[in-house]
Amino acid sequence: MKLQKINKIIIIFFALNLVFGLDWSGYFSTDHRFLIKEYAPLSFEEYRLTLNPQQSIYDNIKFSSEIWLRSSGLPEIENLDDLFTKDRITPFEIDIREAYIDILKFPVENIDMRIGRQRIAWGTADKINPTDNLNPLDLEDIWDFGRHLGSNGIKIEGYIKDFNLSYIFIPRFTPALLPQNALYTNYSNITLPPGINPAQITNSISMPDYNIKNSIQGLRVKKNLFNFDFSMSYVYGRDGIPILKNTTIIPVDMLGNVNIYNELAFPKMQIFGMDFAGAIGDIGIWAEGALFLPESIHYEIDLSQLGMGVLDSLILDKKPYAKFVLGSDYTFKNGIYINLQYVHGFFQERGKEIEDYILLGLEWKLFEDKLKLMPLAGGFEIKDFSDFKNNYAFVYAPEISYKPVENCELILGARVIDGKEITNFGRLKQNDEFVLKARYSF
Amino acid sequence: MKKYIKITSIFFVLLAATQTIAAEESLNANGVLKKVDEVLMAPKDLSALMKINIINKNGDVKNREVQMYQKGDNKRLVKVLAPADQKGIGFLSLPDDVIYVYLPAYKKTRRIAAHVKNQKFVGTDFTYEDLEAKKYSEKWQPEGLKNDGVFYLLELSPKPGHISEYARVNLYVRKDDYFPVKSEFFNKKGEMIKKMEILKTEIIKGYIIPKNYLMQDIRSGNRTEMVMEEIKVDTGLKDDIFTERNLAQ
Repeated sequence: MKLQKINKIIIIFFALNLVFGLDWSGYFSTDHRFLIKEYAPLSFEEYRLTLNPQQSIYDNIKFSSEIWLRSSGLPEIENLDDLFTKDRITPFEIDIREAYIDILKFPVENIDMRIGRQRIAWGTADKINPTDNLNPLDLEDIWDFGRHLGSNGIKIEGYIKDFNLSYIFIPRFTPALLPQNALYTNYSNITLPPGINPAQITNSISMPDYNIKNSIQGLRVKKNLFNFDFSMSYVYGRDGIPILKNTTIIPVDMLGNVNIYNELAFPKMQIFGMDFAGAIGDIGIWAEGALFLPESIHYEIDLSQLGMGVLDSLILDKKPYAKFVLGSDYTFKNGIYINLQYVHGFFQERGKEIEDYILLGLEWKLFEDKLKLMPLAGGFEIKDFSDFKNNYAFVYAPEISYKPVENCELILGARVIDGKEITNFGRLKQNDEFVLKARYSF
Repeated sequence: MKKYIKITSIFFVLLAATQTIAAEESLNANGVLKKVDEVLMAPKDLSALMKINIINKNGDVKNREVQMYQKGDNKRLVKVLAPADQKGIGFLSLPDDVIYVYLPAYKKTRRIAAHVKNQKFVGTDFTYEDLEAKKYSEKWQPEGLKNDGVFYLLELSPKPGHISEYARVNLYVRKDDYFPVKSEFFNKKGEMIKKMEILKTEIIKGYIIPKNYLMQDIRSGNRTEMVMEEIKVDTGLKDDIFTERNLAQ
């Protein structure tokens, strides 16, 4: 069934290619990760063909797309029947990340429109962007910071004097894609009364209705001031990572076993953002911040069937909270590039959960850019400055990249994680791994 | 005493004469540099396909292809067409040292700080600074002028406030048409680090247009050859080509 769908999509693009003569570019990439443990178990595998077809239909109309054809994840073969299903043996999927039409200078000279599935990347910081909230997060690969899914919508950009105004309308809310191993989100750790044991846990999602009221909208104004690029933005939307709203506990026997039914919801959010980028002397600097105004969410635990009534608590306060990034970069005369960012609030954090991070990258290109060394790369997490010793973690992620020929890159890297397990990075400390990647662009 | 006065008078006359000559030379150097700017920036606009070969000291060759648009004396847009892994990278040079770079992988346009200006543009021996659209006379001060019969040699140093990788540039200017055919770039230690020659020029619509460039990196032994093809001048390029809006498209 899935293969039939893929075949249909391939046929559609083949037909488009014949009719419009699409200009194809893209790359083929492989990504293997092995845990640094006995026998080096494979922790991640991806073979991906990224295609970027483009075509100018008229002078002011252009079609663009990004398609992933990929084999991702490890085969899930459990029984004999699985051997009769190709998808089980060699998992394969097609993912249309973007497909849109640009209509330039329409309906008037100083307005451009983009219609279709698109990525709207707001913010000036490097990969961690608090103001980048229109597209849902794609946390499938937790190490690919800043990855988002495309959204079906309309972007209208206006250019009035030195101002650039953007308005985005996304009719339908799409939740974030969460990591499979639930490292960021664990909804199963409810504290139950003594003697009560969970037999089965069901997490159901309460999706917002598909109507205009639940659409995502954004507005941004950009301008250059005093040689700095400034922008201010506003987003009316939702948090794409769900939050627990209700839990109902139903007894299943007289031994204290219960079934737990969780209901999760996506809190509404209003987000005011601001960023700037520029230079002081010859050092690049940027700052980006967002103020999040969530709706308050009350969490109800229905224990009435256990004769304990209903407990109500405030799980998300409507009190505003802020995330921000301060960053700087510099290239030395010998070609060494250094990038440093202070991050207050990672992607998935909200309200009181917000932590602080210092991210560093040092890159050195050698031999006509054939060899790229990243001996210092990674991040430091501080969960609580007042009790630093028990609230820190770090990730050290050095990398070597080599280009044997034009358009081809081979990467060898590692990730070494340590710290306290109550931190986000610290929870991953058993996942030290080394990484082998290859990429060929065409 | 009379003898002393006479010697002193001769000294002051000579000193005054030397200063006058120096002033004239300085004036001439400034004049020559302004002429150079007039010749280089004569076309109202220009577009060209630039085919680039990067040749390292072992003779290995890498190819690049970029489309370049220029308007007036301070606007330039460059878009990379090849190689595939750099296709779509864009570079926009605007007045007042403003340079924007578009990186398709991040779908973002970024204004670059001065530290990036001395970096190689897509692996060539040309830096972002070399590719800026600029008038020499606005950023460089001619310190001296030599005349060898065929060329004027201008020794340029950065004007106050102009941040450059180069501490000095020697510019060899053809005497007959004020076209700069060779530039030598020096670091703070006075060492020549790069040399650029214009190997071929072409007259298009009465303008002298450089056609073949050769940039040599003295330290690495690499060189970059750049050939301009499909050259078009005075086609009335619109200002909206030289905008962030167009850079990202």
